Amino acid sequence: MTSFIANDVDQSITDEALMLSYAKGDTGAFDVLYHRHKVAVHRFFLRQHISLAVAEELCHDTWLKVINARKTYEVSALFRTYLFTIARRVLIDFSQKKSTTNEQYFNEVVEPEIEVDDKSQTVSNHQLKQALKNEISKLTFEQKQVFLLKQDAGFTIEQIAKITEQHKEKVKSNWRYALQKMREGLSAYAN
Amino acid sequence: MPTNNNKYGHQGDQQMQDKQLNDDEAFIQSLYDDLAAQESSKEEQPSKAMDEKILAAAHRSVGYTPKLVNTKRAWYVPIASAASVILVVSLFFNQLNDPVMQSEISFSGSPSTAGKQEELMNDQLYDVRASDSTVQASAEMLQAAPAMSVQSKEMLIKHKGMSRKPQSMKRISLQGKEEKKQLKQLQVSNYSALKSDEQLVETRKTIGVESDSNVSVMTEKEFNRLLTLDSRWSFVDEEKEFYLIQVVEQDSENVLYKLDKKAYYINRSMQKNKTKRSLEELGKLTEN
Repeated sequence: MTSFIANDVDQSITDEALMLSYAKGDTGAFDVLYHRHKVAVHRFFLRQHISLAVAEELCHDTWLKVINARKTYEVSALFRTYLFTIARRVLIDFSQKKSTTNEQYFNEVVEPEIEVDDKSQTVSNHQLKQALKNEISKLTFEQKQVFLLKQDAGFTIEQIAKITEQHKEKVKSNWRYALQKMREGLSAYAN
Repeated sequence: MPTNNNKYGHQGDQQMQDKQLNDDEAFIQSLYDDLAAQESSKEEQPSKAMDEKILAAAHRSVGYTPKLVNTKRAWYVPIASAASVILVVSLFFNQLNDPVMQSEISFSGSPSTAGKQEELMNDQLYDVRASDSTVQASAEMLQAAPAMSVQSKEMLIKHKGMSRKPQSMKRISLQGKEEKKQLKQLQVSNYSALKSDEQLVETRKTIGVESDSNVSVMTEKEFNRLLTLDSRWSFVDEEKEFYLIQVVEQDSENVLYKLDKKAYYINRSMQKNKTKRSLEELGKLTEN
């Protein structure tokens, strides 16, 4: 297993080819695939303003769905698109389940905004990170999905439209509003 | 209908929006870049426990088994099979070539004597020209090993049939077809003659000589009885299936006996020379 990870120097092997190999029974291919995308998926859940334990649980569920669907996997899009489509559905399922049981899953407690009076004052890493989290949590669900998929995961508007199963223009609109909100909230951190 | 000003105004708004969007993107990106430059990505890594859990599930789903087990099995199975085959073949040939009689004979005599006896018998059995002496030599040989059991004799015959010496074979090939035929017949008669005593008596009964006339067939029992009386014998006549001999007993009473040709062999010179001979000599002709 470790040798496979160490040997993942050949980036020319696409994610799709690896997934097809895994579908045929090559576990080493899955190991490579997992190590390529595990951080992105984990970060996607962490930025949802949920606890670490819940984020890991959702992460685990996402990968299990990939594992279980290996035999029916077909290359219709990029593997990353396929992976984040599953991740988003897992998140929606989780939020719906929690809302029906009236449980609070998002961290509602937003930390107080940091006052930055003097622009010359150096903003610490922790402060900036916290501010970003706070601003993301203020976005609507759809705006949040679009923002995280575009800014954190690096998807294009077209790819996000496919993942979220929405019209491209709607995604673009959500992206625009999300950016405006974020900029307003983080204007104090501009250099 | 839109005026040109409206058109330009709409396009201007669009441009403004795009510019605003680009500015916003650049602003957020600069913040993310600052964050990425400072923070370590370790914080956003999933735990090792979760890694192991997911990878284990992936391997379980495929039914992963270590290849080491198969490779181990792959090398020793053919080697074990080959070793077994070699062992069986070597044992088979060992049994085939091993002189079985060697051990049997060694009970009654020394190995060197037994070897000589075997060699002598081989030579005698396949030499047609010396057929007369063959019978005598065989008898001598058997006399030299009196302790040899009947079973041992039978086994010796079997062994002869299995392991003929190349020298004897060469001798056979030099002989003519007629000689070969005779040799075969002699072999057959020798084999049948070298049966146990019980079998010999049985053979005599089957040919019906016993009920032929008053002349009785020489049996083993009768022979032993006459031997104790120190009787002598002489050749009288030769019939199709037996020889007729006359035995002079101690009380000077002459008695005729039939000798089964399958068990006895009296050569021409002995037939012509009708002198009285000892029963020991007759005994030598018994089991040729």
